Amino acid sequence: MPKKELSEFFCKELIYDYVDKTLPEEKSKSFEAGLKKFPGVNSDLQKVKRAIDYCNQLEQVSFSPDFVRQVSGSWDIRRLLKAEWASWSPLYKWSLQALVLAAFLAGLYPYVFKDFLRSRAFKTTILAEAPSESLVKEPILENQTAEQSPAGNSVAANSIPPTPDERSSEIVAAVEPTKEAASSVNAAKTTGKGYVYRGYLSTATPELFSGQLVTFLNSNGAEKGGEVDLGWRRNDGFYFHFIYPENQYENLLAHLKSNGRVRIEKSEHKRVMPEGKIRIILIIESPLTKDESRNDENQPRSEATGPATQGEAAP
Amino acid sequence: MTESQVQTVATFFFYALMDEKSAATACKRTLAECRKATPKNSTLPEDKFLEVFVRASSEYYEKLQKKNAKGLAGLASPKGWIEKAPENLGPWKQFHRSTKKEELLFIIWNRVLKIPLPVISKALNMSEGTVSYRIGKALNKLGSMIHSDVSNA
Repeated sequence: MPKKELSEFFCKELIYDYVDKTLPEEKSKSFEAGLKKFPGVNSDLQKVKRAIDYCNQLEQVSFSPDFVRQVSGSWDIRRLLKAEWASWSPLYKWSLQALVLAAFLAGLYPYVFKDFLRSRAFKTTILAEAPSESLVKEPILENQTAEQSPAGNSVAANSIPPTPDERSSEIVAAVEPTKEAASSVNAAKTTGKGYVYRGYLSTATPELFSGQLVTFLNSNGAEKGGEVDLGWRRNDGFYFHFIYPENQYENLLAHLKSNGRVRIEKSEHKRVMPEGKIRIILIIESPLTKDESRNDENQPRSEATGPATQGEAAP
Repeated sequence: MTESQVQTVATFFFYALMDEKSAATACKRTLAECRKATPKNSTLPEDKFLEVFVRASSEYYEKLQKKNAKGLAGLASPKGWIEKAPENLGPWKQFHRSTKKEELLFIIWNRVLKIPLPVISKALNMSEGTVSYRIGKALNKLGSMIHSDVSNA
């Protein structure tokens, strides 16, 4: 059977199949015949062979083990991130850094800054609480004659720390003169004003007396006023916040005086107590603690409050 | 991913992009695509990996072309992550500049990486004849550049 002759065009089309050895035998022989016949086909065949040899050389490329390790199955995420990070533009880097910082601060807020801000607010409240000369008038009682502050004036309001539930309250002290305290209570009732008695007792054995006072109060009809129990330990002292029968006030005063130095002041408060009841906040501390706390007091604040009277007083 | 698979992908992008930075990034992205197709705690069979790789690399290259990425035009000298490269890259650079995308990719897949025709045609959903024809044409073109490169030298 005579071989079918291929044209030059067909031969050129079959060059790659011939080199790749995918041509059928019969066609392969026809191609070889054409190869001898057409020089152009031979030239193209040489080109293809050169190209294939060249591609075989290209295969010889190899990459650094670091790179291969970086992107292969066992990724070293640290290196990868470092490489990626280095390739980012400064704008992206700064934006990401700012975002991370903001997220970090936002995460810290509930734990750190809230307390910090709260403590700042607390201090601010204390300053607001410090009454001006025209407002504070009545440190009600002390079992001795007036004890003067280093500045020459006793500032009872400053020596008595604010209670937990009083921090944010609006306190405008407006107290009647010492001897007319009882009538001022009645006046308050008629005017709808409330009052709170803030007291401070200095005794050598605060812990012991604190326990006794709890018993005394319970036996005289006192009721717990705040959230904490009577005699709650606060810093180095004991904290009493209670509702007390007004007619038993003198007894309480006598009891307190018999156990140490007492100072009580009465100040106006938004909470109005029922008739016959008074609200007292009392802190019992040892004299040492008291001295320390006094030293801690802010001097300008004391000056700002102006003179305050001291003496024995009744509600 | 095995090291040989990484080598395959890196080689492809090295020749396809001829730009160190773009090639490294493209390599990572394509490997990530291949990883997506890999079941957890196992490796892809070689033929399946090659199929996934051909498809992913083609798509990524196309995406780069649409973006007209600088890496495609730039012919930066290989350095850093390339440990050893062929000395005579002149004909390839010339071919890279002048040839069509399909021809370039087919040559790399089939003649450099030795990926079989059936795998390429299956991955790209083309007939084997078409792929073979394009490779033949591309080889012819590349061969003529090797000749001219040698004569110029």
